[in-house]
Amino acid sequence: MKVLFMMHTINRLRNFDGVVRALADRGHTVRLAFLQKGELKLPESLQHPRIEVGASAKGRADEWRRYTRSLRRMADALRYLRPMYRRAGKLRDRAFEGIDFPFGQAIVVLYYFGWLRFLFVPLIARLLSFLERMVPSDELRINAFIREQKPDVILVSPLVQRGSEYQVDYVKGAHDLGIPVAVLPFSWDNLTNKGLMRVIPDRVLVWNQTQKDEAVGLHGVPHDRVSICGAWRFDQFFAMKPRTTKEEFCRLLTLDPARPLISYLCSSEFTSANEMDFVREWIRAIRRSPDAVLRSCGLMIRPYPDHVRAWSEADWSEFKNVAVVPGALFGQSRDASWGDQVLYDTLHHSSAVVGLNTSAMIEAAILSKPVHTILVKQFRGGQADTLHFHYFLNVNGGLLSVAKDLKRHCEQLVRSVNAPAARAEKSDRFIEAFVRPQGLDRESTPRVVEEIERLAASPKESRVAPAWETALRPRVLSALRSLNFGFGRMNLSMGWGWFAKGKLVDWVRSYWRRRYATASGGALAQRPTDKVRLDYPGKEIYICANSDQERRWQARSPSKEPWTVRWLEQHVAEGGVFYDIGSRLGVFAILAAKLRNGHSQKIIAFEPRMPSFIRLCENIRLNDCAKKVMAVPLPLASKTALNQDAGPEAPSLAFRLDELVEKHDLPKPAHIRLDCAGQELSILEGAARTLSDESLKTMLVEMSPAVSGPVTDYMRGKGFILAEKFEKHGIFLRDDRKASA
Amino acid sequence: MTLGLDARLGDVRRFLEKVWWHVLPEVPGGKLAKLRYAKSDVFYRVDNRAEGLRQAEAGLREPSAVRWLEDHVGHDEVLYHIGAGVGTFALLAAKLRNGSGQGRVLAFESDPVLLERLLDNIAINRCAGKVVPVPLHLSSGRGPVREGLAFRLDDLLATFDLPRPQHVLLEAGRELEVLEGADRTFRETSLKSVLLGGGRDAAAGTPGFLEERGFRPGPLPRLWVRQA
Repeated sequence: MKVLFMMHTINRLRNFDGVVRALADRGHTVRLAFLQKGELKLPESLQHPRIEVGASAKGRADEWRRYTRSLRRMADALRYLRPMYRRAGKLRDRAFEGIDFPFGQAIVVLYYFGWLRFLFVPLIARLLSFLERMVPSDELRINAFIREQKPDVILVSPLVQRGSEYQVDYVKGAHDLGIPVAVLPFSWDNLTNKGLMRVIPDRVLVWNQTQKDEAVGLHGVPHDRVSICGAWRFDQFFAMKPRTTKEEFCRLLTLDPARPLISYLCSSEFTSANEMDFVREWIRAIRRSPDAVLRSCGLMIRPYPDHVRAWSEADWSEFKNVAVVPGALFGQSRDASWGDQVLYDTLHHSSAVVGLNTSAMIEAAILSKPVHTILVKQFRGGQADTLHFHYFLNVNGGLLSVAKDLKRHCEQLVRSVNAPAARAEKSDRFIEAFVRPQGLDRESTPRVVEEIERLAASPKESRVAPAWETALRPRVLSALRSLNFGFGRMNLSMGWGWFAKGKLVDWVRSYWRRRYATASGGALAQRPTDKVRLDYPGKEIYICANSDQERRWQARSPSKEPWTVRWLEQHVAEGGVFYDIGSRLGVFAILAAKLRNGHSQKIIAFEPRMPSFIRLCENIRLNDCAKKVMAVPLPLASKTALNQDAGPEAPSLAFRLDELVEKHDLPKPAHIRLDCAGQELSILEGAARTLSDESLKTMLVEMSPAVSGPVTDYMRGKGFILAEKFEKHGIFLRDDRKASA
Repeated sequence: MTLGLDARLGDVRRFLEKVWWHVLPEVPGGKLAKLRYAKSDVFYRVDNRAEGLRQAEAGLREPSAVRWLEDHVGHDEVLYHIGAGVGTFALLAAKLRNGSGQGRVLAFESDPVLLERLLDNIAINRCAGKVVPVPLHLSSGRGPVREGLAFRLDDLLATFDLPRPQHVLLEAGRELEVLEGADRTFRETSLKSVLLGGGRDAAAGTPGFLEERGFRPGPLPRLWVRQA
């Protein structure tokens, strides 16, 4: 007999290695097929001539592949809207993650309107299951792969988990090719907090009556197709023996062997994110306990296998007699069962076991240890609100000693530590119902193998689709195509992204823009996009630039006006208040501020144009010069009055410089740079008294040829001489300074 | 269903807010949103959802301010909005006049970040001339301070031919400082009403200042009107 065993990834094999080995030992050929590519290395226990390993065909090759994954995920998500999941908010959120936007979110919205929910959720579920029925098996790739393997029976695991939606097509293919197919759940919680089976296989092999009820009630599998086999994954664990004595074990972990041990089993990230803080709190509670025995107990923390490293590297030095159990306690090993051995010894030496919601608690029960839990509000979504946690509470009298807070938990622990045997009975009863329903001493693996052999031997006919199905399929496909249903060709987690890119949004946006804001797009100035460095070698100065023009010209102003830079270096850098009139983006004001480190005198930058003023402020902030440079958004003129040059809509308050200095307490300038595109003469006229003041030493004035003569004359009248003349600028120095030189 | 109605409605609201943000049209520097106010369309630019929502509900959060605009501020009257922020309220005031009348809103705002938004919003709403931005820092003293160059409102009105205010909306953080610099302005009988912003840092001395200058508490919260 040839068995084709489909599994998601090779690490899933650890729960099935006993079954696979037993099948091979009984003379069957087992072909393991994993989704992953590359080198697949089997553990030593499975090195067997009749066990083959290889990749499986991943997904469909036909057009339906665009729609199947979304379809199946939506059906999965919908299941969490059932009343029994009303508390399982965290599971619901996880199921709705990455569901394509309009459908997933619309369902959630519907859900919140109670009366709509009862109407729509079953309707949508019906619709989705109808669509699922319309999806044919995939001849091109999946069926071809099955035919090539020529199996007598197909095993699929887990089928229901997110990411294994493609396995549904294998079940469909098996039906169409007339090959018996069985589904094996991977773990204890698979049937409640994962997805749905969607297509009913020929046989579902489950652990116990609880899982059978779920398969029938939740997944709609007929009674006679479900077989209770026991939990095959624990058979090896039952057979294990401790590898160490308590003394040796305590020595490895540097714990005190004279004290009783309590182990804490961490749960997965989903159940309890940031469990570490809680564990610290738990340890503190135990160390504060009134009971002397409990207070001095050795505490072992067993991290969840994915996070061993983070927990081992964390700092636990504040506690005494506490150890984190490393994964490789007995040395590195290639074999997965080696990790189980560490767990076995950990549990074996413990007097009591504590955890939130993890499968290792079942292993503790197998060793007849009393198992405790605390209901933690913060982890409720992964603990009390999940359905599978209630197995621990209800199955055959329940397994857990539950405490609502750490104080009561410590009281319960005291009782367990003092009399572990009294509590063992509870664990045994749970195991009898949940793990070995056939009897505590009967292994489950032979039962699974027996079921598989019986299934392979039973005759099965190929399924022939009814005519109406075949006729309807192309129509459904074209409908999905035209709806662009699923959108999940490449990336299912697009969610909002698709919506944001979608036509609907474009349409709404363009409608809105047309309706309300036709002119606004052009009316708004471009935002600064990046910052460029000023080409002044000595200092790091940046300005915001949003156009090529600014990048090219403003950033290069120092090299375009070397005389201005020289003037700044020679005169302004020495100190004294500096007025930069017509500052634009503030290149020279900021340069001056950077040149005169240590001088606290103000630099005042005048810039009347609003957009430039805002950019000037931005640049001042960008260069961290706010304490040295003050920006003033006022135009200067020959007389103080309302300036309506820019039209009556945008009046501005024009000041004479004299008035600002005299009435508004501006410090008197020592240097002025004046660059105002033709307004120079009127500004100078408004600054007559400031110019006459002895404290003003130098000026740099832009002089277009038209105003060059009048400006020079005016300045001479105020006691300045033109020291240097450049292309467009003139540098004026106070006369007496020259005389004294 | 164990979730309370509030929680359910909260979920729906958050969902709708996401949708709202996604469908807003884009403009340079952000998105374009509309004020939640039935009587006129006021648009404004926003960078992020939280801020956008806060602005959108500005009118709803301060119903008394909106009623003051509707009932007390006439079409030909001049409103000074001191501390105009991004200008949604100033624009609302301008739009309520609906193009008629000679009234203007003078929006005083000295923070360059807010000022930039204010200018954009004026352009978006095509309210140039109706809302006049004044980028000056008003205070009780003169000269350079941390925020920039400070001016007294009295000085500005004495120096320039600015339209005299009939109404003042005062939302600048340091109300009393602004008022002390506007002593004469507030004594003028042409000034009819003053609405104070509901900021936490409303100064204790403000009511005394206004009472001294002939104002009495008006029919709306924080509104002061001149006694006839």
